[in-house]
Amino acid sequence: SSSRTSTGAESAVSVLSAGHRRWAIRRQGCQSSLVAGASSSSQQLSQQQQQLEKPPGFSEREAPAKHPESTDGASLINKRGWEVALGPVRQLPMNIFIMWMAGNSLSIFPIMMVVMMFLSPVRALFSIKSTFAMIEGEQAALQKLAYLLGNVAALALALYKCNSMGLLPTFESDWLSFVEVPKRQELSGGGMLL
Amino acid sequence: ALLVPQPSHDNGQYIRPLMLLSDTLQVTLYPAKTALPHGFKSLNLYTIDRDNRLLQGYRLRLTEQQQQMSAISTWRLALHEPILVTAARRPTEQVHSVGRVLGNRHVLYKYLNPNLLAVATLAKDMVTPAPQIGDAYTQITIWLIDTVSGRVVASATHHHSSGPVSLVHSEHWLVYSLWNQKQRRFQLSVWELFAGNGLRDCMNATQPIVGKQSYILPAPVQHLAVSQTERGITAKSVLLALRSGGIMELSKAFLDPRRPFDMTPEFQEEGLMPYHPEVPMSTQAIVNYNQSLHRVEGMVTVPTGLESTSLLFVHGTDLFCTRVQPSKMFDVLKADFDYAFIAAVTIGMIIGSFVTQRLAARKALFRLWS
Repeated sequence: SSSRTSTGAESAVSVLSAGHRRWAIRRQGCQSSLVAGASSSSQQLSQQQQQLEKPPGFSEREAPAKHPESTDGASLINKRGWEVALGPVRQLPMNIFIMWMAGNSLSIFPIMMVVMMFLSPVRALFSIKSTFAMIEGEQAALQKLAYLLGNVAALALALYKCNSMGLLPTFESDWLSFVEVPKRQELSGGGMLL
Repeated sequence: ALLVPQPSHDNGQYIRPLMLLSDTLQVTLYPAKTALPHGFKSLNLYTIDRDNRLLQGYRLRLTEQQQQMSAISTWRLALHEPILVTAARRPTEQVHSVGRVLGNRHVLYKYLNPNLLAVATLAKDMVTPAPQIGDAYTQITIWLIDTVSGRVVASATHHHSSGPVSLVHSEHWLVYSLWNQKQRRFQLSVWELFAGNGLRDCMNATQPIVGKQSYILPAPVQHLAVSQTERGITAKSVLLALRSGGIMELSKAFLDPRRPFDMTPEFQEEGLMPYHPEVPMSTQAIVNYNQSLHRVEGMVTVPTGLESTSLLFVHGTDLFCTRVQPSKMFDVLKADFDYAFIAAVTIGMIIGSFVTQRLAARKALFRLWS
């Protein structure tokens, strides 16, 4: 009987009945319940089943039952929404560390870092509409606000870095070239008496 | 007789009208139909009377018939000391920036009073004890006088000093050279006038803050001049006519009263050199290479159309004219600029870009059709 069957036990039976005892489990003092042709009653079978050794890794303790809400669709949507909303906030500590490492000098590496830090929130803010389409659910408004604030915070961090590098025109000397030279009000001329 | 003070260059006719002031304070213009400069609150004149050792200021006023102009005496300043030299700011001078940027990114605003006159007078030195041999010491007093109000804006005395004194006055600073009798050397002094740190100080400055510093000149100097440019963007350089026959160009950065004794990173960022008592004199800074100019009577500098260049004309026994470029030649291409090569490369690139674009489009089309 080497017919192909779909269930596992029956397929095991078919392999064993072919004479290849490779997969037979040798047990002390008991017969495998899967040995073909064993004429045993159901009681004997249950007894034998009770005396079977536990498979390796088996524990008596029951695994904790999963929270029934995990399969709830609405909570999944909420969770996803929060993941998207808190994305930029999660990036902030790493960005702070990178900015601190980059240093305050005006060389290629700090400038590259600052430009990168500037462009990612700006890009995120530009594609904010498509991101908001992904956020649905009850707490959608709060999540959208959190996303917006996270990006604004990242932008503020980039601006602070620019300020500490001295690139922002906060001092008077940056506006000096726009100050007009005062016009002459009184004309005066003269020289030595001849 | 005086030249009419003109605030800007004339329209290319090279005619400078004369204004004649008579003893009765009547003013006549020559040529008679000259237009006076307009747009000013008042037109003022000042005269320096060497014999009477006084300065006098007048204001011009048109009489009722609008035909004759007269001058009204407004102020008189008696100095009681013989006047050696005077120097005024050139009326056509352009100042580019209103302030000086400091190392901490703040601004120190310049005191830009266009009506200042610098006067050097000589007197007997009462403070320094007389030497054992030779004449008693004299002292030189430098005055900065506002010619509209007659007020003395700043003054200082150099004890045991005498002439020959040469003054040069530009923008917000004054540079002069004198002979120190006690130490027997020529000295160069610089004054810079500042209005303060705030923009309001700049606009309403009455009393300036004066920064002064002096340096030792290794060689005797006869005359001083300063380079002039059309817009005042280029750095200024002071030209010294040495008695040895050379005209030396000295960058104004060396003559800076803010030059510190102890350098800090802030001063370094501002671009200040640490203070050194001697002015560096190098033969490479001599403008007239090996053509010696002795007995120089005067030096005139004129701006050119190029912002980087100023013309210098020296007259005396000899006449000498040359170009001075204080910040090197920044607005002119070098003489052997490769126009042909750059033009060929640019045109080649443009043609190449078009050709490769066509080729790439054709290749993509073939690939789609294959």
